[in-house]
Amino acid sequence: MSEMTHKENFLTWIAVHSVSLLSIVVFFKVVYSNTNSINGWTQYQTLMVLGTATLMTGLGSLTFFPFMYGFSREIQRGEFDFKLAKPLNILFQSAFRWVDTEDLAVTPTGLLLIWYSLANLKPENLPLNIIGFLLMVTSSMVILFSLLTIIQSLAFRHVQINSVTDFYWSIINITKYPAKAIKNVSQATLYSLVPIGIISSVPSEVLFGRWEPVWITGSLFSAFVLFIFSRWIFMSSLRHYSSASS
Amino acid sequence: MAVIEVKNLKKYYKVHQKEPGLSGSIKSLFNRKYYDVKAVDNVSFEIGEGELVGFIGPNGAGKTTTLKVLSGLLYPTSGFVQALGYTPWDRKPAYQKQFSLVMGQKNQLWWDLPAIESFILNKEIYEVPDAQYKKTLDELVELLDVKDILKVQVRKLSLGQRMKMELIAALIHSPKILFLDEPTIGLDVVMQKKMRDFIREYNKRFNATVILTSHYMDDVKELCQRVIIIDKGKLIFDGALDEIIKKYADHKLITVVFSKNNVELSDLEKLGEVKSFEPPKAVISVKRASAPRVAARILEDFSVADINLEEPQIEDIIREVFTGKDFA
Repeated sequence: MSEMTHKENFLTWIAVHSVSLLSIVVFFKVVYSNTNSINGWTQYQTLMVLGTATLMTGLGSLTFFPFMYGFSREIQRGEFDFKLAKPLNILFQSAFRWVDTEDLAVTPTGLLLIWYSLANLKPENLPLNIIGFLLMVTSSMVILFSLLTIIQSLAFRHVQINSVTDFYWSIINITKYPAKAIKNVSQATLYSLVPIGIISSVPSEVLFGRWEPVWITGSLFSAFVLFIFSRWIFMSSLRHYSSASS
Repeated sequence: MAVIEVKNLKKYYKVHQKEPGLSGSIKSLFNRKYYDVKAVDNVSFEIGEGELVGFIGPNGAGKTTTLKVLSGLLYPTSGFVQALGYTPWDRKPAYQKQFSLVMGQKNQLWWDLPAIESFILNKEIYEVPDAQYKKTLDELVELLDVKDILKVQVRKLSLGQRMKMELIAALIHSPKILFLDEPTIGLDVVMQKKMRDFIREYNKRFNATVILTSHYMDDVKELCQRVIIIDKGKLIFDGALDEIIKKYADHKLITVVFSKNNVELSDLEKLGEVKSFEPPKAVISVKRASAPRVAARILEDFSVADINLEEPQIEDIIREVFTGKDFA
């Protein structure tokens, strides 16, 4: 809400993000005008990954991404004290306090890209695929949240954690591209080293019908375990919070 | 019955020490030196329901750290603390709904929005019923006289107005315990007085337990029947304000106005420590036990227009306690 009070900044931000997204779409169009597929990924499959990533980035910004850049600053300035004193779940209060309403304008463009890709791909069993896609997006968002929670827990000890959050954000940006299409990088490496790099690729595959049920159950289970673990890390790290001098 | 109970509370920090300049920064990357800070060192006290206690001490004495432990923001290194029957750092919502923390140097209000938005948020967080919220808000708004600025962006408010809004935000859930950390800092004397009047009124009307830290002795003198003095993390005094004078002030001040201008400084130095001498007026500090005898001698030896025998100022005594003057 507070962002909307600065109208010019708000509108400029929407314009910048729209142009940025459009430039990636144009880039893919240019690339695919010279080839039919990249390592088995067609133009519309790639655009679907971009749409899914945009949707997830939008959802993340609307919910917990601001946690990434606001949290250590709050600890540094001692503003975290007030949160800690309030009768609310401290993790959720920290992660979901801000809402980037600017991303309300970006999220529909993600949906539009997905719809455009689906219209061209015409996959079979679409209703089932959509259910699978929603479950995969949910577990992907939980995984992203859990990883961010673990990173932010470092702020209780080290306060300044910009380098780690920058790394997280750069990985988020990789999700706009079909990471599984990259040659010479085995899927095993992608899954184990940068799991969030494929976080939008896999739900997209589910949506256009290239999936197995075990993907969904495995993903939901991993998300649940990672969430419990990240919450434990956060609450344990809280013991090291030393507040800021006043 | 004690509302707050603190036994042997310790809070030690490890603090990184860096030499100045670029070379110091590079060295600290490889060989970091730490030292222990005893922010709170074996402090014990109890506070009863409805008490308004002044927590005083120089900068870095451990006052704010103690308040932060009592608010559950910090885990102590060791010790026992209970407030309203709860261990603060367990951060049970049942306890958190019964206290409030106000820090004069920090603010909890949304900067870009009117304060009323923060009040509504706090109402939801503390689950205050609509009717109670309206009643409390009306009372606080009237007490602090802020009706006209409720819908003004917080960043457009003056420091004094903002502090009033901070207090409302902190009190909207009618807490039983109020931790006030330098609530009057930076305010002008008129606003300081208004704040003090409000705190006194709130304490009386709601029988709230209040712990107040302040560097302004006027705050403590006007509000607190009891003071706790803390220095270098250690509790050095806990009792009534008057008792500080009895415990630490071994002298009294004699203020004399002479009727003739023939008094020499050397004459007065024989009587005690001359604090000031601007003829015809002099202020002499004398041992408490000998004060009546010295006063009688002044009246006998000099031509006196006026004489006054008084206790030293509480500010002066506390300043001397902090600067390490030996009162034994």
